[in-house]
Amino acid sequence: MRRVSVTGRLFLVVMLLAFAFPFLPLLVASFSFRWHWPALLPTQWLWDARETTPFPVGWDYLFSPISGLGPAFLNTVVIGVVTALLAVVLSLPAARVLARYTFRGKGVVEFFLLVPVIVPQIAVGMGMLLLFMRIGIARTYVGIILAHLVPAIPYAVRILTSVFQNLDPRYEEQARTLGSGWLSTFRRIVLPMVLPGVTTAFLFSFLISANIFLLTFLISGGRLQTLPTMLFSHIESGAPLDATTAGLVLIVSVPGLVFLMISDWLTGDHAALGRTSFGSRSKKERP
Amino acid sequence: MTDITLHGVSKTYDMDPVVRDLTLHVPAGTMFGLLGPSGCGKTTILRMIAGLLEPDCGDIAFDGVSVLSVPTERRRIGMVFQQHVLFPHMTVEENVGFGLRMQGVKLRQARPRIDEVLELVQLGGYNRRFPGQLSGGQQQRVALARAVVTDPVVLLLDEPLSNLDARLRDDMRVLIRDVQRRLGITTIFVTHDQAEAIELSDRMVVLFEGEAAQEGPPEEVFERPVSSRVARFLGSTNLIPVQVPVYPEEGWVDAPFGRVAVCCGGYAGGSVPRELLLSVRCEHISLHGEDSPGTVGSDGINTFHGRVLDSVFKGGLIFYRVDLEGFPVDVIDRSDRQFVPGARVVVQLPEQHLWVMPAVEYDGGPV
Repeated sequence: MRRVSVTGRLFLVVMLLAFAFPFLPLLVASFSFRWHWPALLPTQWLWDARETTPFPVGWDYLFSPISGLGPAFLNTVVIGVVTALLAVVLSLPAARVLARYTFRGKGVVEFFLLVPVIVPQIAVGMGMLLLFMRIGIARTYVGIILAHLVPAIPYAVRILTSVFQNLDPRYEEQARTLGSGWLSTFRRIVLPMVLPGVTTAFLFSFLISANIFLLTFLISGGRLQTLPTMLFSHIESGAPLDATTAGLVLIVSVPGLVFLMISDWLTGDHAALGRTSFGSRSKKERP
Repeated sequence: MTDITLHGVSKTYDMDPVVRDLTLHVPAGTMFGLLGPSGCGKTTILRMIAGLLEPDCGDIAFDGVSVLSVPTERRRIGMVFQQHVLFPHMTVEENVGFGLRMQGVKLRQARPRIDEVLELVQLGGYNRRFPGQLSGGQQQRVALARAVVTDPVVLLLDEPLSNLDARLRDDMRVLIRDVQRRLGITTIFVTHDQAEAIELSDRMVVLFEGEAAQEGPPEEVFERPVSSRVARFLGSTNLIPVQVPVYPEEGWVDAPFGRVAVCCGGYAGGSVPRELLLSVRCEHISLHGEDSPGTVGSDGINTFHGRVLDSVFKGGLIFYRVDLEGFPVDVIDRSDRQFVPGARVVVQLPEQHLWVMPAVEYDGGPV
């Protein structure tokens, strides 16, 4: 591992502060009971006000069963994981074709894959809501997951297309000449080699799903709460940043962070393997 | 051992014919070279034999049985690609054992066989390494071991040496030849390097624009090219435009520098065209000093007086350019005596190594 220079380290610290700084006031706010301008720190902390309030506030409220945080958290994770899995599974064959082959109408297909990102989500959502109500899957997990796939798939296809563009098709041909059928070639050769890219696509799809408010709100009609819809309902109430909302915002960031760490751990391992394998061509033969 | 037949095989990419009506017979157990410049369709032919591409028309048969309906994975072939050959996420052992695993053999049972083929390519003991820890030459050898581990009926090599540097290439060439002889496996290899084709193959075919220009043992193709194009592609030859004399005499042609006796030509019977090309390999021409009382008299048959234009010494060989009455001829000489530029010399063209062919390429007709 190379040592990082002093300026490099300074740069890293500044970057870290820039990313972490917005979270600091949130953290403080989540423990405050009264925090008015121009005070630098809360004038009354949550733990001092605990006895005087008739019902729980801040973390106390969030972790009490009445807040509904638990089900919302679970909904977010379940919907996110299923959406991401489906997005990756559906995008893999499409990405392979888009990366490898040219065919009539390829440009049109690529454009239509981008449309959900360009068209306003409210338009997509209203259209889907009408359709889903007719076929009876509005207000269900299935409906919400289908809706989440619409913005997730374009990103997954994009990421996986570039992954397949970097995978030499000769690996698959080589496997076939050694007697491996397509399923075995995919399982033993293609999948291990594209795993880092697949993990990235999965993570992205999950993050997109975990941050969707509008589509969830429209399709679920308020019956199913996820973390974003729960958060928006708090912001809607018009109150300034209270302890409960601040805490909720922090919790909303948790799934993303956890998945980032998982993916970093997974891809880091395979990336190291990839480096040793691909970087060797320039090496001279040892005598 | 298996023989391979291609019958009337054609392949077209985007209206562009890459292989045209190719008929080839590869005898069982031979090392067969497909030689041609880039874009002549040689890799396409190899991929069609492997089943990675389907011919537009024609038939490909192993031992007389058509394999067109057999997918690649069941053709029992071994193939070594030009580059990106090993699976980077598998060890050497797993790479070599991949073909056996596909046949349902467990890695543990396959180990003796894996060790055997690794020994064959001189990489015994490298079992646990990853491809990234090997040099380019070693990777290529592992790929060769992996291709032969399942005892395939045919071995296909796609420019197996082109990514290696000169010294490694020589070692690998010897190794490939050795492995092929020991296993006695029918082998087809693709190359654009005429020296490689001549040195490695038992039989070879020269391809231009997807068509076979000449097929035969390398000595024959080298010594008796059917056209000036084949002669030029194989290199180190003099092509001298000659004419049949106005009053034809059996075995004589007129060169720019005088009358030459020839004994054989690349045309058969019928009408002999008047415009011909005389091919003589640089290393077959001998030089003598004008003053030397050598074995060849200065008035002997096929001897001409010339002047040395240039001479370059290249370790054991001397490359000359000699002016024969205004016509430059290249000569490679082995003798220890070096003529300086400007020296007068006697040039002898050996009759048995002269080869006459038509000056223009024909579409049909006697060639």
